[in-house]
Amino acid sequence: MAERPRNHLGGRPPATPPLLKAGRIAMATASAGVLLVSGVSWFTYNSLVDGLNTSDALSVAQRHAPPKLDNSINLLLIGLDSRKDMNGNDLPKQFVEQDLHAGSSDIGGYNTNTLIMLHIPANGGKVQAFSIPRDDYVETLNGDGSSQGHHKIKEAYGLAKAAAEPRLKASGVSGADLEQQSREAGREATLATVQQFLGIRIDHFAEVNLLGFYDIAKVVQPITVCLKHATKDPAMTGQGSGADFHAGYNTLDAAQALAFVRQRHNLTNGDLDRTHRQQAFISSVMYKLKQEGLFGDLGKMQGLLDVVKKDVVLDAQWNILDFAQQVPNLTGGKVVFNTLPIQGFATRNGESVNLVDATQIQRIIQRLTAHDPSPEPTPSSSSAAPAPAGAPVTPATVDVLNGSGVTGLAAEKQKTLVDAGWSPGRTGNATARAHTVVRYGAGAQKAAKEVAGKLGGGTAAPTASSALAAGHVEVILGKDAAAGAGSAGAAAPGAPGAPGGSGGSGAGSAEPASSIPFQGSAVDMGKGIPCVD
Amino acid sequence: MPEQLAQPQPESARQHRTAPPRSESPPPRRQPERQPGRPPGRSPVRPRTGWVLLALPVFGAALDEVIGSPLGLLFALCTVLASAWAALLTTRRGLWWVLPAPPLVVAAVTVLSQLLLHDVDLSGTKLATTALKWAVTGFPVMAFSLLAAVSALGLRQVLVRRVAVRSGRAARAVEARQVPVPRRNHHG
Repeated sequence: MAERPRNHLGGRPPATPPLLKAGRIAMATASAGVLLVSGVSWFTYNSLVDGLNTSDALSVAQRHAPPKLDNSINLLLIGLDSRKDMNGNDLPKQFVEQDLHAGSSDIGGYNTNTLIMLHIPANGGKVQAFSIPRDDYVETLNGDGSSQGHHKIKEAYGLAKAAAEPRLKASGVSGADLEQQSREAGREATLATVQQFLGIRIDHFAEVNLLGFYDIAKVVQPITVCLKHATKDPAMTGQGSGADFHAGYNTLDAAQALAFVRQRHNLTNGDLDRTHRQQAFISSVMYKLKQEGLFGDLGKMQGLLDVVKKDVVLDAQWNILDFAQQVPNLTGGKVVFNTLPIQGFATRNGESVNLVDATQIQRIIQRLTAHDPSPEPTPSSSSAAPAPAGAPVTPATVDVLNGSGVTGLAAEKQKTLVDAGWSPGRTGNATARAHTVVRYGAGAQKAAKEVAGKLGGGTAAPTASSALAAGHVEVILGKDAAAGAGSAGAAAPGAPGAPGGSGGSGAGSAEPASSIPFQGSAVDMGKGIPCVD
Repeated sequence: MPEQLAQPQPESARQHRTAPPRSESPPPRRQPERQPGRPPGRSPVRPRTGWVLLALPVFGAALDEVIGSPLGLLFALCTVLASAWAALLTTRRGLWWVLPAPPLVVAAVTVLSQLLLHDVDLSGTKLATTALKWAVTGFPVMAFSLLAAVSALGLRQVLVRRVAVRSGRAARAVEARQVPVPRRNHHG
C-alpha cells in the first residue's frame, strides 16, 4: 500500500480505505470461525471423554517393553472375569446369578479370561488380531519385570493384585482406593507378561469386566451371531454359561451375549473354541454398529461412551481421536482374528494348562507384525559364515539372553562376542529353549550373520525382529549353546522333539503366512456375521 | 497484513518522541536514525510484528518435529509468546491484524506441518476425524495465544498510562522550575 501521511498530534486520522476495511473484516471473520469451530470441537470431544477410567499401568509396563519402531499400534483387549465393581464391591447376587449366569461373586477372582492383541499397521494394511488362550502356561511377570514364576497367563493379574494388597494395606490404603490401586498392579503384571510372551510392545489397552461387557451388550443389543451347530451349556453351580443356541443365526440380548462368549462346555475344542466365540462376537458387534452408522453419529456414540466411562478402563495414553482415525481400519473388513497355537495340554500345579512354545509364538507375531519385513533368511548355514579371526566386525550392540538353563552362560558368551569387537548390550534370562537363535534390529543384518557365525555353524540363520532396537543383535542361548554350540554336532533346526515344528526360527520363517499353525480357523471381521462352533 | 508490519512502537512512545510520520503500510526501508550518543551499528533491532507472529510458531513447530513431539509444548509456548510479543510491538491499527491472527496461524501451521511432514491419510471418513483432531488439539493453543495477546495489550496500556503520568509530572516539574520569578521593583 502507498504510504500516506498521517497526523498524530492533531487533526483527524485519514479514512481507512475500503479494501483495507474488507481485509480486516475478512480476517476477523475467518479467525472467529476457526476459533468457534475448534472450540466447539474441543468442548464436544472433552464432554465425550470426560470421566473415562484411565490407568497408568501401561507407563510402568513399557519400561521393560521392546522399543517402538514405527507408528503401528498394538492394542491389548483385556476381559477381566471379576464379579465385582470398580470399587471392589460384590455385584448384586441375583444379578450375577440370573443375568450374568456367573455363579457367585466369589467365583472367577481376577482372571483375565480374554486377552486379544490387535496390531494396527501404520500404513492402513490388514489388522492382525490374536487371541491368547487364557490357560497358556507361561512365565508371568509383575509390572516391574520381576518373575512370578510359571502360571496360566490369565493368573498374572490376580497374583500381582493379591501380592500388592498387603503392601497397600500396610501403607494405610483401604476401601475403594485399595481395590483400584491393587488392580493397577494386576494390569501392570498382565501387560508385562503379554509383552514378554509375544515379544512386542503394547501401545494401548482396554480392560472390561463382566458387568462392563453386559452393560455394553445392553447398549448394542440385539446382536445377531451365527453358530455352525446347536449347543447348550446349562448354568449349574456357577459352572455353565447358560448358553442355549440353535444352529444358524441367533439374535442375542445382553445376558445371552455373555453366555455366548463365556461358553466352554459342549464345544468341539472346549476352551479354545471360546476364543473364536469372542472373536465372532466382536465381529458381529462391529458389523452391527457399522450398519447402524454409529461411528459417524456422535449422539449414538454418546450412549456407548457413557457405558464405557462407567465400566471400561483405558490406558492414560489413549487418545480417542487417534483411535477414531483407526476405526475405518477396524470396520472395513481388514481385521483377521486368529488364536495363537498351543503345543498340547498338561497338568501343572494341579491344574490343566496349555503348553506353549514361546519362541514359536514370538516368531509368528514377528512375522505378522514386522516393521520392516526383511528378506526371509534361508536356513542355509552358508549365510552364517563366521567372521575371519582378527578381521574387523560390523559394528552392532549385542544383547545375550540365557535360555540354556546354565548359569552364567549369557555373560560368558557376551564376553566372547565383545572380545571379537562388538559392543556389549544387556544380558538376562529367557524362556528355556533347545536351540540358540540370533535376531537383529534394523540395520544389523550383516552383524547378526557375523555373530551367528561366531557362535558356530549350528546356530540358525539370524532373523529380523521389529522388537529390537536399530543396530542391536540379540542372541537367545538355547541348550545347544551349553553343549557347545560351536560344534558341528549342534541340533538342526526343526529336529524331532521340537513341538509344533518350532525348532528353528529359520525354518519357521520360511513358511508361507497361510501355513502358520494357528489354533482353529481365522475369523474375518467386517465381512458380515461370521459363523463359528 | 499491512498494518501489523508498520513501525512497531507504543502509542505513548510515539507521542513523546519525535517520531517520523507513519502509515498502515510498511514504510520504505531506510537507514535507522542514529540516536545521539549511541555508537554506529549498535542501534537496537526491533523485529517486525509479522515476522514475530509467523516465524516464532513455525520455529516452535520445527523444534517439536525435531524432538519427535509434533505440535507439542514448544509450538504452544512459541505461539503464545509470539502473540503476546506481537501485541506489544504493533500499532493500534495493527491490532486489527494481530488480534485475529493466532487462530489462523495455529490452524495454518498445524495443517501445513501435518500435510508436509507427516503421512496424513485424508481419504474417506479420515478427513473428518483428522480435521477434528487438529481442531481439538489446536484450540487450547489458539485460546491461550489470544489470551496472551489481550493480556499483553492490557499490560501495554497500563505501562503507557504510567509513562504518560510520569511524563506529565516531569513536564509540570520542569514548567514549575521555569516559571519566571517577578523581579522586585526597586523603583516603586
